[in-house]
Amino acid sequence: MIIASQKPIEEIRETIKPYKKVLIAACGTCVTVCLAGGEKEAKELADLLSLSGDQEFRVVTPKRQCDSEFLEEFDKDVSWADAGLSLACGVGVQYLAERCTGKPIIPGLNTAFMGTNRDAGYWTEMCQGCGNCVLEKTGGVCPVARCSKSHFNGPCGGSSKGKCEVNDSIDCAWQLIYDRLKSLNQMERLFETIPPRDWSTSRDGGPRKIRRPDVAIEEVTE
Amino acid sequence: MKTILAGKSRYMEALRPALHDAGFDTIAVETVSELKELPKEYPVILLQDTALNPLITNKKAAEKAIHGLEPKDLIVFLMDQNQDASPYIENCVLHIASHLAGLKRNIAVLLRSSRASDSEFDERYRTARKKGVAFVKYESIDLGSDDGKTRIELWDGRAKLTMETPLCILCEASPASELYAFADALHVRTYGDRAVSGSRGVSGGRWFLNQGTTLKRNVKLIHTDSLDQDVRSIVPSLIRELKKLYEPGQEKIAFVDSKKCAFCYTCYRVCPHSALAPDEDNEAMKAEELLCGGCGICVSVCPAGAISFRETEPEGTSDFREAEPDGTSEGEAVAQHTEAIGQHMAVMEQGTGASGKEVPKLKIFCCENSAFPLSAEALSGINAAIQPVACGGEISTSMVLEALKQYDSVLAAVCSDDACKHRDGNKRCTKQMERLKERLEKLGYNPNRISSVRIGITMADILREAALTALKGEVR
Amino acid sequence: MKNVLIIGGGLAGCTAARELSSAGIHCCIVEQSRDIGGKVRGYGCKSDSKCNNCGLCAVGSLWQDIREDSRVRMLCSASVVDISQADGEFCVLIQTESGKIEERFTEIIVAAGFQDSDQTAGAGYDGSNFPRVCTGNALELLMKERSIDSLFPEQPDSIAFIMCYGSRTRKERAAYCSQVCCAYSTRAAKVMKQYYPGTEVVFFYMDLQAVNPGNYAEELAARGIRFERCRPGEISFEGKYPVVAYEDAEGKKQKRFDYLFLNTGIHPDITGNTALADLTGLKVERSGFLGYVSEPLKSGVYLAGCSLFPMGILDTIASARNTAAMLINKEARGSNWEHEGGVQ
Repeated sequence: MIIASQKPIEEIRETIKPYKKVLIAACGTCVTVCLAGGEKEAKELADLLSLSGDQEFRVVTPKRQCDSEFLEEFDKDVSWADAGLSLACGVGVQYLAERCTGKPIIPGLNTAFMGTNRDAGYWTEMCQGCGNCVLEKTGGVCPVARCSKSHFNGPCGGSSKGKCEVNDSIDCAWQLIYDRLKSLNQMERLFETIPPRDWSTSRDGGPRKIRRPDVAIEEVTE
Repeated sequence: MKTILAGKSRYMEALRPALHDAGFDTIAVETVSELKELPKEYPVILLQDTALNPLITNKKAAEKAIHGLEPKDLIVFLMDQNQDASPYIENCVLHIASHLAGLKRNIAVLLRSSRASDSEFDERYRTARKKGVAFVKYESIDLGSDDGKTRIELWDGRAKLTMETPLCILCEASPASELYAFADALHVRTYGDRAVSGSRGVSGGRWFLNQGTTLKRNVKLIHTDSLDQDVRSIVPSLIRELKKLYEPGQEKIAFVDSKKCAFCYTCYRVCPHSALAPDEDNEAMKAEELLCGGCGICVSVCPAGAISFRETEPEGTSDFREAEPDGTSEGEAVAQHTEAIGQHMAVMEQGTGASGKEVPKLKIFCCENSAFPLSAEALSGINAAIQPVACGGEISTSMVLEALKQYDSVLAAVCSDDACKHRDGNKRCTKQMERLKERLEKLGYNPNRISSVRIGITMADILREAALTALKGEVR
Repeated sequence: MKNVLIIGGGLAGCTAARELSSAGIHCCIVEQSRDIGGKVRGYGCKSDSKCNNCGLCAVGSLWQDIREDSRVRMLCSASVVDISQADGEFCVLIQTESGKIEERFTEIIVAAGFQDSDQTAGAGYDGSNFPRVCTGNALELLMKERSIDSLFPEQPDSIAFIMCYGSRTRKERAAYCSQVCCAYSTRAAKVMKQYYPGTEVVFFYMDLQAVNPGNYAEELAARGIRFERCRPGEISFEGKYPVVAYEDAEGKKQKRFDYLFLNTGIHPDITGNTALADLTGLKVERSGFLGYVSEPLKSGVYLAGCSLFPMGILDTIASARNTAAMLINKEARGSNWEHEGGVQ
């Protein structure tokens, strides 16, 4: 799941200041689940921001902002507004912006990572979308996302009592990998070298695309 | 009506007839796998006999243990009581110690404190002393081993004592390990590192409220290690509560709108009664009517605004603001609402009063378990609108912001820490209020327009003071 | 049809009444004072920043429930004058405000409680004139009437508690432990420390009951509450201030305190109990509390609460429920609850 957190409210207020009529677009999927941009948060934001009395707000909650069909029913509200405050993740903000030509769309959240909800109110980063998953080699613990230095072949030597030297509240990923491989009786994998990574499958090759020709039947030239 | 008796206990044979007489069919299970085969709706009574060192409960075992010792050797019973101090253990120790002393052995009982519980205890102590048992109360103790013997050094508050013994019997109780397994299987939560022991761990700090109840209505716990809390005493209320499980639940039940539910499991995790679970289609959460405690924690926490209270009849108005009058889009309706807040706030900030002098300026949400019973007495003469809530957890930020439309200030009066009947509703309330205050402050408004106070059931003066402070909007 | 007489409308009496009523049994509470509630109504919640499990809120809406319960009759400002037996029932003569009435009952529960401790020690809290030596009742009032930032009229420098004052001593006929003082006084001390962290709080004690699981003494010491293992020999006065003479590992000492609390304990109303014993066929034990002469299931006379022995709030509730359960299940089988301390 994409995990995000709301921007500080005073920052939001600054960025929407120039606009008299603001449409707050919540999102009913990832950001609802991580308690950052769902309907409840949107309504609370609307209540708080309208205390000043000099702006008007409307709140809408499309199921997702990353699929245009969900945005169609709110076209009326979009045309009413001077600007949109999107509480979706970075994807939703941009998609809404593409759709609302001529209307500024302002992000209300800081999209943080792909992660998991460990417990009520607590989320941790698990995946960085590197595009070339090696989890099978590391017992299901990601060396890219969960090792602070993204080491591929063992710990850096700075860990102490199973915690990372960068921040002792972080578990050393290689400790986790070691423990996991041990429980799976796959310790020999520790001796299998993972070769240097071609990072072009990740962000470093520019924004990525994925196609399924069996579904996108028509050839798209782009 | 069926009920499951899970666990092993010497009270099993006495409990079953009592339940039968009350009309229950009882099914006894001793392992978790047996439990899992039974339907989930059946209420469960967890029985727990404490496992004690057999040297304390069995005379023959004790005699065997001392068999090879010299007559003059000191035998020590150590009641360190790092766990729940139990009169049951003390009683067992008194029996065995007296018995061994009667066999002309040198017995010492070392204990931190005594939990004398009735006049018979005094008699037993007297008897033990007459037989020659030495009792030593200590403040701190150190144990070491020396050549196969245990070396004990203790401080009794005035002097240091040392002794050596070939047999140091630790008088501790541990609940049967199956109990933890049952608790896990039933999703009855344990708290911190305190496992499901006695009745405390299971229902948190409110163990005393109803001996036998856990926060999950269809799971009851009977701990059988205490003599002074005669198990008989809870059987009538136990039966009463079990019968209630087969009747309709209470008035306020949580209701999840499956179309809005994001299936994020937040409500499931925060519910203290384990009342929320996925529905039959596995598409949304659903509140189990018989388990729901009506506390409102899920209602105020749901990020999709999908949960509301409803009366037990399907058609019921909910407290939740529905912003959908006909014809307007959802966005427009909410706009009208927020516009109203804006106008009102503008008026407030200018200093002109709201509509009229008689209208109350303060809204107080009172938890019905602490503040509300006090409110008549504590708040007489104070111009405030008082609304009872089932729990602090019911008070949502939207309720508070809604109240700020009409009132100058809002006060939430909830229960003390560890005293919340719904485990942590009081803390949820104060934390949510704090977050709201921070945001108000960041926006440049007076954060003292909202406040909260945590009180016990007799603190009328404190409630009053909190109300007066809230009216003034002063920093506290 | 059962009709139970409950002598005493305090915590035990009302709890028993509620249990009986929910089993469909009618009962009548005869209470000497003007209202039900007894001693517990004067007690105060002892949470500091957290609940301290004193049990007071377990009482809940008991008084209101009793008042609204159609199966429970309440006769306040009333007392039992005479009891005789006829046809296996009790004929009871009750003196009420409006005259004497006679009623028949099938069983009797004696839940008359204990004597007011202020009568044994003399000092009490009366608001403006707060004397510096006080008993349990005063402590309860402090807890109840506390304001948000003060307990006492002014911040005290030092507070002392003398435990087992008047209990556990053969001389004054109170050889037993009063059960509740360790609990309520240490809880109150925690509250005092919360309000006045710099104030010295000292307990003069013999030993400490395990009020909470784990090392309670350590928990208290961590809050700065000091324990001196000594039964003070003498209390004198320096003006208004009490001075305690005690002895510790270093020798004899004397210390002046701003406030001194005496844990006077729970004591039986001997006159009252003697009269009740005469009326009901119970006996007065050596301790002054009431005891059974014959099995209650046979005699029809039951005991609950502090009439029986000193007990705290939760134990009183348990005792009353226990008594009610015995009464309710009288005809039921499955009364094999006996066990000998679990030792074989």
